[in-house]
Amino acid sequence: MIKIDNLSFSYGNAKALQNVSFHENEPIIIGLWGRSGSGKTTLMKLLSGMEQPNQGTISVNGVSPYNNSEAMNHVTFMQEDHPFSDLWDVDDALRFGSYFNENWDQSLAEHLLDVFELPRKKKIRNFSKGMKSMIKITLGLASKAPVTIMDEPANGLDASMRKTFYDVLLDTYEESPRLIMLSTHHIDEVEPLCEKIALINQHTITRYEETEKLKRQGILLTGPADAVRSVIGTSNVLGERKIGKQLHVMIDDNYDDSLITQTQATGITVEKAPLQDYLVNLTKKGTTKA
Amino acid sequence: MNTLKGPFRIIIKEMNPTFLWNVGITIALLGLFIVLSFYTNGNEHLGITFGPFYVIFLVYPFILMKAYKCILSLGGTRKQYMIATFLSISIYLVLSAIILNGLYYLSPYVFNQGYIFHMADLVNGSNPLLYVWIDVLWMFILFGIGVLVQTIYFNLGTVRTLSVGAVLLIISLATVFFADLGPLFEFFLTEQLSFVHILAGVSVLFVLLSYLFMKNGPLEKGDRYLFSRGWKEPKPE
Repeated sequence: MIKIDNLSFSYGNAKALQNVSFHENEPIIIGLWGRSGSGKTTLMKLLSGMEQPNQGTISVNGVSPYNNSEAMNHVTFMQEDHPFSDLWDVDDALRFGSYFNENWDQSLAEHLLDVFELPRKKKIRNFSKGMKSMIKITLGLASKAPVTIMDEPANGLDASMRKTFYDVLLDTYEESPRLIMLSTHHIDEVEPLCEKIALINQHTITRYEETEKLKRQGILLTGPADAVRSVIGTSNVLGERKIGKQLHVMIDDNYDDSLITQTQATGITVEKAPLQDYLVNLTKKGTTKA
Repeated sequence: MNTLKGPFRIIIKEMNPTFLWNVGITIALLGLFIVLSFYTNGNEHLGITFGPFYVIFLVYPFILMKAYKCILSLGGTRKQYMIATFLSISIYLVLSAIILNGLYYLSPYVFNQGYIFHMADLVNGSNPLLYVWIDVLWMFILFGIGVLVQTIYFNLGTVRTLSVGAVLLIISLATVFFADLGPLFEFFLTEQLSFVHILAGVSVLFVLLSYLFMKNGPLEKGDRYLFSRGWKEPKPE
C-alpha cells in the first residue's frame, strides 16, 4: 500500500528528509511520531502527492502520487491546518469530499456529522479548533481512501470528543480495513489506536515497530548512584539526572521481570518509562552509551 | 468518476459570488445611466458598463488562489487546478460578454438620450458578434495579465515580485522617455481590431507561461527559488 525507497527531500538547501525507506502492505493503523521539524508533515505531503521527491520513489497503492490525478482515489490527507474556503459550510465540504474520492461514504459522513454535532450551515471559517478537527476527521474517514493520512487529528478535541474519535475510527476501520496513518507529537493521543508506530528522527524513519513491542521499551532506574551504574552495564542510557546521592536514569531496554528480580536487593526502583518520555529521550541529541 | 469534476466545482464555487456581484453592479450602473439619460443634453456619452467585469477578470486569478490550496489538499493536482481555472474562466467570459452586450443593446430602448461607450466603438464595424468578440478579447487580455502577475507573485513572493515590478517600471519609463511610441499609438487608434488581437495573442502566451510555472508550483506563496530547483524552508511542523 505504501512503498518508499531511498526518499530524500529538501526545501532549498534545508534538508527535510533523507534516505527514507518504508514499506507497508497491510491495511493497518500506523502512528507517525516525531519531534517538531523532524519531517513528519513533509513525509505526509510527499505521500499525498503535494510535494515531489528530490530523490527516491514513492508508491501509494501502486500509484506515484505527485501531480497524478488518479492518486486522489488512493490517498486522502487531512492536514493539521487544513485549508477550507471562506465560502464553505459543512455541506460544501462534504460535497467536494465526495467529488474527490471514488470510495466516498455519504452515510458515514452523515453519521459522523451527527456524532460530532456539527452545524451543517455554519461557515467552516467560524468553527473552533476542535470543530475544524471534527470536520477533518469526517472528511478523512468518509473518504474511505485505501491510504488515509491525518496530521494531528485529535488537536483541539476535548476528552469526550477524543474518545468519540477513537471509537468511530476503530468502527470504520473494522468495517472497511485500510491503511490509516495518524501523525502526532503526543504519542499517548493515538497510541491506543495504532498497531504499529513509525518513529521519524533526524529526517528519516529510524524505527517502525509494533506498538506493543515499542511500549515494552524504556526502563527507569532510580537508586543509589553506584548501584544504578552497576545495573546499567552496556545498556544505552537515554536520560540521566542526579538528585543528591540518588541517580535517575532511563535505559533503552526491554522491560521485563528479570531486571526487577536482579535489582531487588540493591535498593533500585525499576519502572516502565512512559512511551512518550521514552520516545522523547530516544530522539534527544546527545543520547549516550553508558 | 471524472477527476476534473471536483476541481472544476470548487473553482465555480469561488467565482460565483463575485460574478453575481458584478452582474448586480453592472445592472445598477445601467440604472444610473438610465436616470442620467433624462438629465443630459443631446446625444452625449453617459459612461461605461464594462468596468466591473473587466476589472474582475484581472482580479480573478488572485481570488482563485484559495481554491488552489483547497484543491491540492483534497487530492487534486496543480494541473487540474489550472485546467479547471481556464475552463471556468472561459465559461464566465462568454457569460459576461453576453450579459454586457445584452445590456448594451438594451440601452437605446431604455435611455431617454445619450449612449454608453463600448470598446468595440473604436473598431470599424457594427456586427453585434464583433461587439461580443471585442469584450471577450479584452476580458481575456486582462485575465492573461492578471494570471501572469498572480503566478509571479505566488511563486516569488511579495519582495521579489516588487523587485521584478520595479525593474519593469524602470524599463517602461525609459521606453516612454527615450523611444518613439508615436507609431504604436497610431496603430492602436487606427488598427484597433488588429491591436486587440495582438494583445490577445500575447495574453495566450501569458496564460501558457502561467500554466508552465504553476504545473509544478509551490504550496505556499513565495516558496519557489528562481534559479534553482527547490523551495524555501517550510514553517516548523
